[in-house]
Amino acid sequence: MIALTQDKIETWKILQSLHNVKAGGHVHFVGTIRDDQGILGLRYDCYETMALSEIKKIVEEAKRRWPVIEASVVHRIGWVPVGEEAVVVAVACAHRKEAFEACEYIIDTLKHEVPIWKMGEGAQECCAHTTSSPVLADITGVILAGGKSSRFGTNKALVPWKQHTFIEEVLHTMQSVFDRVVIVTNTPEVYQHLGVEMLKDAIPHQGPLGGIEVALRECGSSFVVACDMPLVTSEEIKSILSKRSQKSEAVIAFTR
Amino acid sequence: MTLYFFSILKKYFPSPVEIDLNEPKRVQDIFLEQLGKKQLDVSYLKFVRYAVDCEYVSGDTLVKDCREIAFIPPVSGG
Repeated sequence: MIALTQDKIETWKILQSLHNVKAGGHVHFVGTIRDDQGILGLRYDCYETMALSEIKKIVEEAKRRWPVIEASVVHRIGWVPVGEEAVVVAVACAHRKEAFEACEYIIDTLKHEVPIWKMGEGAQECCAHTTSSPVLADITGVILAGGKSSRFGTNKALVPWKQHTFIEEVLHTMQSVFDRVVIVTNTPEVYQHLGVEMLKDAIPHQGPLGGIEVALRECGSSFVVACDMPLVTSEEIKSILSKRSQKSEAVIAFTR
Repeated sequence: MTLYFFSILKKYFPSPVEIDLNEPKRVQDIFLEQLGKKQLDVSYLKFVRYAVDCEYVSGDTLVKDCREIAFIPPVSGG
């Protein structure tokens, strides 16, 4: 079930719709309107046709990445009072682990990709609930995948990780933060299936610095990670970006 | 074709706008033109995404015969 509705969401009906004897793990996420600064509720506006098609794409991608048996997404639009459900995502898989991961992927991606907006009680945009800022929209997420993996022996970017690969995990995280994400590689044919913009090193095989150089030249302000860093989270990226100031030209994270 | 504006942009464009194009034009230039008509700051360019016929596209995408273009500020569903 994929739907946008002006009516109160009946979560139990959505959970019931997932019933499948082959599913041993059911995970659902329910987003409700919380009492924040005395608001009575929030109004959701949306670009309906695109919102539905984007949600369908996200569910299809989740099914491609994890063995999802059933998945439902229902989002409320119009006025939603405090305490009521705004969104329900429910996933059924054979096992709990993939159900948790697929459910998290669907809600996280929905919040960044689907054209739905929270508004305050009046007609003004509810800034406190906006997930991305104009500042982040000016930065490009850059994934370095130009290494030869000579010590590792095989292309690290394509190492299997959580039903997909290292680079897909990194890409998903970066796309949840940045509007524009590019991969710097000298073998674009290897990553063509990811459907992402790609750049080539100006001088190949100069290590990460060559990739950073082409990213800065082509994209301007950039946030750079390597393709073999699947554990980097969007919270860590935002934390690093928050350390920027007018006086700094770069922010670098390192271990002590 | 119809231009749709959402979220914060609706304040300035409360209704969809109809336009006709005689030759291909970049979606970003169409947006700039609309901003200019309302004397709005071009800083909106930094955070608005574009969709042509319900598919996200880059600002460089050329359009001529599409049905609709949407100008999409940062989304906040969920």
